Formats: sequence, structure tokens, C-alpha cells
Amino acid sequence: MGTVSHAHISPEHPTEHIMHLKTLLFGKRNQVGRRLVFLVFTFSSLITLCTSAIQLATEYHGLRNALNQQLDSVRIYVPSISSSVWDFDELQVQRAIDSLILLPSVDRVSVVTADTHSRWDAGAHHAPATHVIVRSYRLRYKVRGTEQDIGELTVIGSLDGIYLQVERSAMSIILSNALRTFLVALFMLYVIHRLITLRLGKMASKVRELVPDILPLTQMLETDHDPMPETLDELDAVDWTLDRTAKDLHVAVTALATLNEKLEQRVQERTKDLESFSYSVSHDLRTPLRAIAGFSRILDEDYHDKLDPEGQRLLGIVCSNAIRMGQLIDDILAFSRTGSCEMASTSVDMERAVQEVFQDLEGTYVGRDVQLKMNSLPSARGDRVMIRQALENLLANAIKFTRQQTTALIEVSSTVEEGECIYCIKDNGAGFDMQYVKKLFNVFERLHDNRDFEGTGIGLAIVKRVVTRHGGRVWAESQIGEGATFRFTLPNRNHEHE
Amino acid sequence: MNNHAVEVLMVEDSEGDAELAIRALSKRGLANHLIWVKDGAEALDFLFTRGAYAGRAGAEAPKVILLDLKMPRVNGLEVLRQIKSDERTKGIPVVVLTSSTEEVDLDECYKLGVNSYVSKPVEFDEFAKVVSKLGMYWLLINKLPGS
Repeated sequence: MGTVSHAHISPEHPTEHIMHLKTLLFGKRNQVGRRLVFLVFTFSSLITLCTSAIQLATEYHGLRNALNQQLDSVRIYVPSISSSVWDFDELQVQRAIDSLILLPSVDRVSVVTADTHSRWDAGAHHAPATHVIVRSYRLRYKVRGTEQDIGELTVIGSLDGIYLQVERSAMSIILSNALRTFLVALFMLYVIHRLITLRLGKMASKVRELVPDILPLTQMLETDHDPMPETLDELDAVDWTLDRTAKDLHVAVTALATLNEKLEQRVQERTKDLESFSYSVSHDLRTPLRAIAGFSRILDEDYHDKLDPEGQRLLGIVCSNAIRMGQLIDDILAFSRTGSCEMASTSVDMERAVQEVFQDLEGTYVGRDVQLKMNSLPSARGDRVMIRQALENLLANAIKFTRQQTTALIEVSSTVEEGECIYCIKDNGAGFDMQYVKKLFNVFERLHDNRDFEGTGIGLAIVKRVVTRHGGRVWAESQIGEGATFRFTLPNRNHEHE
Repeated sequence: MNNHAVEVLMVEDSEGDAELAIRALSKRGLANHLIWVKDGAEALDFLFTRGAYAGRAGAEAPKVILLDLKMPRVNGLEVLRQIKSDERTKGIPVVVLTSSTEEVDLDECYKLGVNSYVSKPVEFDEFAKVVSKLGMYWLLINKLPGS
């Protein structure tokens, strides 16, 4: 893409820059710089020209005035020359004008008598000057009280010297200014290249990178890609690139919106599939299961006496496994629902929730000494049903794994750390080996033998899913035989404003 | 089975469930006047005395209909819709007894005018308890017009 993509030259090597001076000046790169420099150069030259003209005019005037004064000073010689002419002392006259000619800038001197018969010249033998100032003085002599015109002294001053001097000054002014302007321009060119055009190039390529490089998108965008016109300078290139990028982004955003819509549609379809699947699971798997459990029970009721102990034991296994499978189906459904159900966000009174769930679980600890100790818990923000589900699983676990203790102690408390509320459920039960803590919250993972503690391995997976969907975290620590502590965070009501 | 005295119409495609339910009801002596049909179409035929039941003498309505939802041919929702939209049958109490615990089904059933919605417990003990409670309530406790 022309000038823009060339901007990768590292500015860290000055030698490289000097090497690129030629391209800097004449190459395609740094067009903005060159244009700017050209303008500055022209403007600066114009100003130089004006100031030089004024300067030269002043100088010319000064020199010319000096010459005039000099020619004026010839006046003092007029009386002596007049008397020499009256006396017709030719030698004296010639000597006088020869001395006059020695004055600087005096080109020629001549004396002519009034009757024009006699004439003395000095300096006339060389080529006459082209630009001159002529001064004439009447030579008068007092004869018996009356002044008589006896001749004329003509002094011709040459301006050639002045012109030459002014010309020289003009030359030196113009040359020095030109050189200075040129050097300044060169420096500017470099600075602009370094500070602006290089960055402009980088900017242009960065702007290009704004368009995400996604295959279906690039294919869509590639179709109307005409290359950037070569004549553009760096600023125009950035402008052009911005325009193109804006267009591309528009296309991209539209495409993404369409894709998103499609995706949303697909998700909805899949969710529907999943829902109908879980419906089928809930209905179709339960029916045969109930038959297995029901008819095993009938067999046990009606034919108990006809079965030997081994037969009764086997039938017992069938019954208990049917019950277990029913539990599995229920848990899987619950787990799948916690992943896909819509969440309603309300303020949840955690103390009340814990109390109620604990009471609901009463049936699971009949005849045991289970003590619930609860400190004050701040209310949380979230889906009431889901949070209760999580609490139910955690408390049910605490109740289950303290089965072997004479007094089961379940402590529910909370702490606030860094603005985050951490709920804690601690029991004095069997605990677990921290070695497997990573597996703890996975579906179907069990850290205890089913003979010691029954379960499907889904409860904690549900807890994790509920907490995660609320934007919280859940973790646990324990030691075998020392009880377990489960902690989780939920968005606090103070952090959400609805 | 004496059609004149049908008290319970059980619409259930699962033989196992039907037998378990009948057993639970008969333990309480509530299954004497029960008829069991295996799908929705048969249930409608029975209620509207057509098809195989065209000759059904009399047309007294059962005291309660125990209706499963997921059935072949005509499903429970459709049966419910037809029962509740026909003058002759809309007064019959319909109890949906289903494995489904889906909210959608619940909503739909109540919109169609179901009298009760009970999900089948997985465990047989629970199931038997629920069915016999239902029988007790609808046959012995509940009062119907004209009885």
C-alpha cells in the first residue's frame, strides 16, 4: 500500500537515516515533509529577498550620499583653480585636477575656459564609467570689483564602484541566506520525517489493524479492495486508510451483528433441543425405573417368603440401585437446569435461606445431634432458587459427612475481604484429602466410597455452576478426619445498583 | 367392568405405572370401578362414547380422570383441551399424573383448566402414597354436583 507500509524503518540508526537522505529528499517517502519544507523554503526566501532589498537600498543610499559629499567637497578647490585659470597657469591647473582625480570615486575632471578655447582633462584616458554623477562648478574671478565667469570645472563621479559593492553585498546576503534556509529546511525535513511522517505511516498501518482478521470477514472485505492511490501523501494516506477502515469496520460490525443473530438463533434452537432432551430424560427414564423399583417392591411384598436369603439380598440390591438411579436422574436434570435456566436477580436473605434449607433437610438427620451455628450473614444479590439449591447441596454434604460424629457441628459464617463477601460453611465431618481438591467440583467426581457416604457426585458441581453463573468463586479446604470448609462468594447487594 | 359405575378413568400408556397405580388404589379399595385406557385417543373415545366405546351404555362421567401427559397418538394436553372445551365433559375433574416436572407443562395444563397437577414420584413407596391419596381425595372427600 504505497508509502504507508514503508514506515517500518527503524529510527534507531542515524546512519540509516543519512543513507536514506536521498530518498528522504527525492524518494516517495516523506511527501508531507517535502511539501512543508518547500513552502517554508519559498516563504523564507521571499522574506529574505524583501529584507535584502531594503538592506541593499539603504547601503546604496549611504554610499551614494558619501559620494555626493565627496564631490561637494571639491568646492574648496574652486577658488584656487579659478585663480590658476585667470593666471592661465596651465601647469598649476593640470596639477590641481590631477590631484582631484586621485579622490576616490572621481572618474574624470575637466576644466574648460569660458571662451572654450582652452581645456584641461584628467582621467579621461581610460574607459568612461557607465553610471556617473556630474558636478559642474563655475570658475569666477573678481576683476576690479566685478566677478567674471572665466570657465567651468566639471567633476564626474563614478557610481560603478557603488554598484559593484552593492552587487557583492547582494550576492553574499542571498548566498548566505539561501545556504542557511537550505540547511534549516534539511533539518526540518529530517525532524518532520522522524517525528511525524514515520508515525503517520505507523498510524495508518495500526488503523488497518483495527479491522479484525477473521476469515469470513476478510473474504467479505477483500471483494471491493482497490489499492491506495500512489499520489497520496502521508496525511492523505492516513485519511484514506481511516476512511477505508471505517467502511470495513462498518461492514465488519454489520457482519458480526448478523452472525451474532444467527448464533443467538442457533443457541435458542440448541437450548430447545436440550430442553426437549432433558424432558425426555425426565419422563422416559423415570417410567421404566419406577417399574423396576415398584415391581421389585411388589415382589418383596408378595413373594418375600418364597425367596431365600440370597434371593432377598439380590432383590435388595435391585431396589437400592433403582433408588440410586432415580437420584442420579434427578441430580443430572438439576445440574443441567442450573446451566441453562434463566436467572432472576433479587436480594436474597442468606440467613433465612440457610435456616429454611436446614429445616427442609431435617428428614436427612432424624435422630442425630446436628447443630447449626450461624453468625450474621449479609444478604446477597442473585437468583433465590439457585442460591438455595447451592446452599442445600453444601448443607446436605455437611450433614452427610458428619454422620460418624456424635455431635455434628455445622458453622455458617461470613467475612468481607476487599469488598467481597465470602460465605463459609464449615463442618466437623470426615473431610477429604486436599490432594484431590481440584476434582472436588467436577461432575460425577466422588472422593468417598459409596458404602461410607452415598451420593451421585453432582451436588458440588451444581454448587460451582450456581456460584459461577452469579459471578462468584467457590473453593474448599479440608484435612481427612478434620472436617471440611467450603467458601464461596456472591455479588453483594452494595456492589450492584438496579 | 361395569361402565355404568366408572369412577376412575385412568389414561396411562405405561403398563408398569398403570399396574402400580391400580395396585396402590386397590389396597384402599378404590380400584373397583376403574377403567384403564392406554392412550389419549382411547380416552376420548370412551368419554365421548365413540369408536370402540360407541355402544357404551349410559354416559355417566367418571368421578375423576387420572391423565398422563406423554402418550402415543393423542397426548395428554390434547385430551385435556378437548375435555375442557366440551360442555359434556368440562365438569369432570382432571388430575394430571405425570413424570414431567417441566414448568411449561404445568403452565399449559392450568391454562387448559386442569383441576390438579401431580408429578409421579420416582420411588415406588412415594408413588403408591401419592396415588392412594389422590384416590381418597377425589373419590371420597371431593363433592361433585348431583352426587
